[in-house]
Amino acid sequence: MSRLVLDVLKPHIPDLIEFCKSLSEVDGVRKVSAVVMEVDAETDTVKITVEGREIDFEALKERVRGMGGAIHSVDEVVFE
Amino acid sequence: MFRSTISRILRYSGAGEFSRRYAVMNAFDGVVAILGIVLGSTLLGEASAGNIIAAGVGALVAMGVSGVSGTYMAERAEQERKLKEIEEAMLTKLNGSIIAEARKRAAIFSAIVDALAAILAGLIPLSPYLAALSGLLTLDLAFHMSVGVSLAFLFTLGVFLGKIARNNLIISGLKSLAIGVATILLITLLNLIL
Repeated sequence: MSRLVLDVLKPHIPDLIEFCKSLSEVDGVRKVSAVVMEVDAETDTVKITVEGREIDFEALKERVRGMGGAIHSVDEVVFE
Repeated sequence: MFRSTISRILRYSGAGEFSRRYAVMNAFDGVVAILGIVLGSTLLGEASAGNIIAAGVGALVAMGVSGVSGTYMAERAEQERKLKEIEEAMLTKLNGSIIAEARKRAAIFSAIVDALAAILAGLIPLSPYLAALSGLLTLDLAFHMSVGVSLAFLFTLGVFLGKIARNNLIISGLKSLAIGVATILLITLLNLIL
């Protein structure tokens, strides 16, 4: 798996920079980019694009959860 | 490492601001309570340095215990409430996440800050009496120094608050100093009445 686009719901804190920095440390991840789609009272909906080689999806999911976020959907997947 | 952990706890839980508030509030409590003991036992009675230290240490221990337990329970409740609000918005439990962990630890951190602030601040007016006990100062000099350092500390706390509020530092310091002066006046007044 070399590319993933995730729809993620996260609390305001940790902020997007810290959130993505943490995801970039997951095995196989080389690049993380994110766009804020919606800001609510307590949460942000963000579209996160993760690129790399042999991305460990389970570890990624666990990291998102550990940072207080929840993956709502996987919107795009690329295998190479 | 330790520093970055603490800074993360404070950032994720928003407890930095609360801890600062607790620290200032309890430093006030600590100094004014011990100042009260010093003034009361000197003006209203004839206490020795040992008596004043015993009463002061007792009061500080009590303030430390009440600070730790009171703040922990209050802050824990606040942090849990906030966590539940976020969980409701997220429609998921946050158990095990760094946010839940940080909020749990924030209550402990605030409790320690609270107790330490009261105890350390309370030791300031008590310190001249420790010197008097070891024969370095006379009781009279210890009394005047104790009142002096207490007022100086209250002024410093006021300046610190002024810095937080970005107000005039001197005015803020003087306002805080007025609390100490008011305490002295009230106890002196009591001394005249009794």
